Amino acid sequence: MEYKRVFWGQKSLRFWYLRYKDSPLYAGAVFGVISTVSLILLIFLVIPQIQSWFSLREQVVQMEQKIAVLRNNTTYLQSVDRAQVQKQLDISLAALPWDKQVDSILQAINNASITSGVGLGDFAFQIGNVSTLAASVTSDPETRGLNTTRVNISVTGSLARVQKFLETLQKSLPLSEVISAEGTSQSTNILMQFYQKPLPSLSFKPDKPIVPVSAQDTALLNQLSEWKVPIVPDQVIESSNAAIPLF
Amino acid sequence: MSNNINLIGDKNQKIRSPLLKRLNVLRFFAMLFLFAVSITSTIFFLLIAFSPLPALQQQEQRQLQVLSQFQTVMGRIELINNRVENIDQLLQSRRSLDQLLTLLLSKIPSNVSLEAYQLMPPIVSLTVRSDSLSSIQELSNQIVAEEGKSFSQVTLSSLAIDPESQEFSMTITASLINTQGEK
Repeated sequence: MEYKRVFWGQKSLRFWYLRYKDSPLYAGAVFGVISTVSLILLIFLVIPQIQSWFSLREQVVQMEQKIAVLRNNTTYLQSVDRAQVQKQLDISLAALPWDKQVDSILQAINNASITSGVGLGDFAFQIGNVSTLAASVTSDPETRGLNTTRVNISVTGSLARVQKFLETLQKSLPLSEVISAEGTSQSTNILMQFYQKPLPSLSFKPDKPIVPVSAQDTALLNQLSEWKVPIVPDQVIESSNAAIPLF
Repeated sequence: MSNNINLIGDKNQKIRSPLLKRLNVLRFFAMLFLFAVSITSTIFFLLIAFSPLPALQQQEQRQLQVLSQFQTVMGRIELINNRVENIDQLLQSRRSLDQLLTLLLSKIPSNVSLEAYQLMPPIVSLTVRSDSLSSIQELSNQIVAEEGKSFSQVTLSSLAIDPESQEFSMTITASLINTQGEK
């Protein structure tokens, strides 16, 4: 029985521990096991934890920035005058319509002729594709990357009146540009173009900082509002011999 | 007293002792390393567990809900900015022929009549008529004086006299320097 106990004891961990605890083998084995475990923990636990923490930190910073933008946007939008925004939008769309608004063009020409006192002769439109979707923005530098409607118009009147006509048109909405003018002291042929820009596709991006309409832009819009042609209901286009060959 | 007298001690112990000592030191550092790894792991676990990200995500959702009410206004403001940019560029760059016409009319003396004109930037052409050659010359001098300011090149295209009416006729052509207008 005693023999068995001794024999059992020889095979127990305690026996092996006592047998080798002071030996370099034991110390080396302990060092090896601890080092290996530590390295495994470092590589497979601590390093991924550090990586995920840095990633999390980055996400937190981004989220804080996003929230700051959202807060600023909310504060700005709560303080903005909606009626003023609508008014500014109306002016900007009147200046640069999204499609070929022939009635606005006729209104501007008619208003300029009344203001300047010139007589309107024949005028012809070069409208092109009427479809709004056909945003055929040409690369022609004359069009400045915008859609245009060209109008060829003949006016009668003195040069001073023609000059006044051109000046009034220059300060009318929708925005136009006189390309050329040629004539005599009594009549002038004018080629002008009215500009349009299709509506861009707007997407709701609340985390994008809103750029408020700057003071400079507000001043420009105020200036443009003075150029807006008053619309008189059922106004008849006055013309000396009003032949309007559209399309 | 000689050290060799000790009969109990292991003769190899003296040889093993420095190695064992070194191994014990290494074992100590290995345990220290394991402790450091464990502490680091625990710290990062806590940092991750108590991250403010979920709270921030909730806050973001609340802000988005508030902002969704202003979707229309946001779109309008974006549209205004988009248009104004183009309008500004257009106003800066478009030609202003009315000013050019005003300039030309201001140069014409009272006894000179304008027969025909052509404003086709960058070319401007004027045909005038007068019974006074000096007035025609005055006009041409005035336009030539604008060379370098408004016109880059002034050319006298033709100068003729009508024998019946004894009137002089002149066509003058000029190239514009800058055809862009102002607001």
